Amino acid sequence: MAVDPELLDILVCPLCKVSVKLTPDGEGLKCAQCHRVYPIRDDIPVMLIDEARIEE
Amino acid sequence: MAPSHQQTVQEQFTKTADAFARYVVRDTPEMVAEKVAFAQVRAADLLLDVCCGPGAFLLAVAPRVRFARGIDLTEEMIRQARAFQAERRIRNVCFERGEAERLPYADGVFDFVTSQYAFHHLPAPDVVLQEMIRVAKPGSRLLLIDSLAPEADVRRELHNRIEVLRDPSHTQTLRLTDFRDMFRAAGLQVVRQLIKPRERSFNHWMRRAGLDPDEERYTEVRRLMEESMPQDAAGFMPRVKGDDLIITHYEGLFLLLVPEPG
Repeated sequence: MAVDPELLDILVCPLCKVSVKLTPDGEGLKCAQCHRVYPIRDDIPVMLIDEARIEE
Repeated sequence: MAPSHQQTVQEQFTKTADAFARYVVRDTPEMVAEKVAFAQVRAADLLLDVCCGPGAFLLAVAPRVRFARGIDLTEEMIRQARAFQAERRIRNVCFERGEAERLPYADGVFDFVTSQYAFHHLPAPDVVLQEMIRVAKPGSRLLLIDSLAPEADVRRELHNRIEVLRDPSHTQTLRLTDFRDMFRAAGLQVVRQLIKPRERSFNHWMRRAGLDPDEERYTEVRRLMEESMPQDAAGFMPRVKGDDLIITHYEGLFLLLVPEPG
């Protein structure tokens, strides 16, 4: 996972607008409110609702 | 953006990615330089380019700012942008995929938010403008650049009919008055405005949209363009040059001030 954590600081869930946090495996960004996980593909966060999966 | 239109945008920009990226990044450096000069960015700026495409503006402006982020819906556009970034060895840039209508950034974090040639692809440009304002710091600046449609209704309708037939991801080109009304409604102050005619080859313009001369849509667009020549009925001011037509788009560049609260 080569995404610089500092670059993730201002990212929010496009739906809830609350901060997203890097998942432990480093392959996604999770919204604490709606539990959507947005994938990171080839180091690019994919912040599309349709591409996210909901993980409780 | 409605899912069906999102798909149309992604299909169009994936199909035409190579030709489009080559044109905007390699073939028009002087036009990009003009836009960068117009923007008057500051060295400390954290900049966001919305609907960044293959990164022509972003990569040109990056050396003049602290950090620049680009967001685009289409995977292939981001792939092209990163390839150009690697080629130019620009380090202070990163990219996200996302929707302009739902920007994945916190409120009031950017010093400068820009968007070029995107608004004519959007079903709800006012929603995107509100998102650009939301993520910009109060008192910061926006740069908005897009084609302008003719003001007269009949001419504007034919203008947009030709544009949509050429590129199905085109929603509508707005008029100068539409942009000014939208800015006023959003509380934005126009700091600078520049309107420039841009002449281009019709044949090249069509190829860039992925259309070949033997295709039905190509023939239809050419027919409408030629029929518009008397009285310039679509506002493209077409004129014959060999087997080509020279057409003109008016480009509006707007530097806008984001209001302070209260």
